Amino acid sequence: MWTVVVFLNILGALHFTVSSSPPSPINVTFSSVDLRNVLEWLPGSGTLDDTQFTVQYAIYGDSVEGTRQAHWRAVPRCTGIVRRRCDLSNETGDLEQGYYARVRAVSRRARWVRTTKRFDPKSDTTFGPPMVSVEIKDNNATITLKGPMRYQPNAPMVSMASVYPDMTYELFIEDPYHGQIHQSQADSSLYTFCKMEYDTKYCFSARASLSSMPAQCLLSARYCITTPKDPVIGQLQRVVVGIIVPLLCMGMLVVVGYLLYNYLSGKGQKSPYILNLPTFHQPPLTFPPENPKPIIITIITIIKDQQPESGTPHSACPKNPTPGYASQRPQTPPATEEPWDDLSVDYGFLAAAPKIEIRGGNWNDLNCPVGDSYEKKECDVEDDHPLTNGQTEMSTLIQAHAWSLPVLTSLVSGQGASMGKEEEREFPGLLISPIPQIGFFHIPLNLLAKKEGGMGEEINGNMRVGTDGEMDESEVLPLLSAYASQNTMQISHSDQSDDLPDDYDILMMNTAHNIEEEEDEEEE
Amino acid sequence: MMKMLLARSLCLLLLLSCLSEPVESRTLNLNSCSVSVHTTELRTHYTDIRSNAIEGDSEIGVRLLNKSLMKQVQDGQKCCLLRLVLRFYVERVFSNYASSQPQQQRHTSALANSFVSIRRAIHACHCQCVEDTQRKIDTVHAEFIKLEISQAAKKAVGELDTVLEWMEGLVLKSRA
Repeated sequence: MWTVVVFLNILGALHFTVSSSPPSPINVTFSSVDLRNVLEWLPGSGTLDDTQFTVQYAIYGDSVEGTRQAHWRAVPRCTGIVRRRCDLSNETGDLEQGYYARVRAVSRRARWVRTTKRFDPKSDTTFGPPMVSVEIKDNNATITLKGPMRYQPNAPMVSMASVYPDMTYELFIEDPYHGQIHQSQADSSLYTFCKMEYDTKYCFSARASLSSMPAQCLLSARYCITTPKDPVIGQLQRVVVGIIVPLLCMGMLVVVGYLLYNYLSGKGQKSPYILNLPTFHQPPLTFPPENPKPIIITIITIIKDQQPESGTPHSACPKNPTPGYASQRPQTPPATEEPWDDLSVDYGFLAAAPKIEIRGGNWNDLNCPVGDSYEKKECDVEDDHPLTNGQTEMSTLIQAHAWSLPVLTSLVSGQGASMGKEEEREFPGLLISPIPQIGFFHIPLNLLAKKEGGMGEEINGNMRVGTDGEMDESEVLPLLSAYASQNTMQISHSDQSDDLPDDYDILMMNTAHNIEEEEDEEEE
Repeated sequence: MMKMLLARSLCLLLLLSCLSEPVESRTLNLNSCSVSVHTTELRTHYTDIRSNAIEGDSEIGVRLLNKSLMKQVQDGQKCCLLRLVLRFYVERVFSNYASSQPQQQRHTSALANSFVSIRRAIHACHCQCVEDTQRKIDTVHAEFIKLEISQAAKKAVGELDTVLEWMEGLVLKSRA
């Protein structure tokens, strides 16, 4: 019996505790932005999701008649709601009043939870972000600021400035490139920002500002804009594109046209060397005997002479093989005369009119007649070597004449005089017999014999030049070729004359060595 | 040593003058009398103590300073009403308002000193008070003494924004 009573009591206590403690909402506060006043709360721990809440509000100083108790007013639309917020903008529309609000869960024994602070809408509301619009003209920006707008559910939107006459704007103009933030106070909704740089990004943001009382003001989103490019730069670019580029194109066209013109007209093209040769390439056999051709043989003798050893040039002069000259001269005529006996061809005569030009020396006065006194000439050459002290160029113009009549062929022989004992200096001499001239055959010779080893150089097929002996220091050998008949006896003593073509005769410039050999032979 | 002290005091004076300079002074035009009031400074001090004063107010059904009382006053009686309100706060409210936090006490002292200085300035205006105005202030006193004194002081401090707003309105009007 007692146990039953105790059990019932325990059950009743459990029922009492469960039903008497509905969880109370917590953090009941007003949140207000632009005078949109919303009561918000959080459900207490253990509150079911479908728990309903009821909201009441009271005006500060408004009490029930005859008592000091506050007059709580019900909010019909916020009675028995599940959501955890209630918009009280209509109820708290009188900005001159202070307001309180309270919330409880719908339950018989639930307790009211009141806002701890009085809510003064005018001083407690937060200013929302104003709307910022920017117009750029040149480098001036006109910023139009609008709002924030007061929230009124059943009334046209008005600016917060109608409620707060002293409301102004704080304007932030940010230059991200330079990292500068320009802050200014904009009293009116229109603000002009001047002296902006061209082609620069600017970001504008603003917020409301109250001078009479501290208020929380939200900053607007950044409105970024890039100023136009500098018109001067644009004009410059246009000038560059419009002038310089066409000029370049025209220049290229001119160049291309010039090249095309040159190519089509053939200017600047060199014809092959073989085509520019003089006319003496014609086979001499075709020459009629009645039309003798003058042959001008220009022999340039370049004597690059170095200082003889031991500085005794005078002593070398008498040592020169003067007998060689003497002996050579009588040698050659028989050599040429011999084939004449057998010749049936008429021409083959060579005559030479030597002109000797000597540069850098005193040889101008010494026009030694060729074949007249070779000894003297050689002596003079040797004498002047110390004077010239270096290179002496001897240019000898030899006119060789092709003579139709079987006249004695002149003797042309090159002689080399060994200047030094050890060095085999080749000092060619020229032996041309001056004989009356009939025809001319011009043979320009610009020979810088730089070849070694006695190679023959063929010029035009008419001339074969044999240079024998060593030419260590690129000694220049005068070459002389003469036109001779096919059957003309070759004068040259060198072996290379065997390789000569049939039609031509050749006068070889012999090295001193060969000459000496010849001399030796003659002496023998 | 003396020079050091002198220099330091001079620097302090300069600093104080620099600090006090930017505070904007506004002029209250009360009929034939004009009083300069630092309304912004008053606001700053009040904002710091307001929430503390409001939170302790449990008698939400009682309001000492009705806004209608402040706004329905005749133009000729503004000087009188302001003088009476200042006297009420200086003699009754600030003397009974006690805050445990030093920061709150400092702001309360600053506000009280400002009120004293304004009251002294208005005293030279020789405002003429009519009976109606005096009666309105008497009702405020009556409500005040009904409450417990510290509660009443807190409530009065919590309602200072009404006074400040009214004064700011006077400044704006005088500006226009």
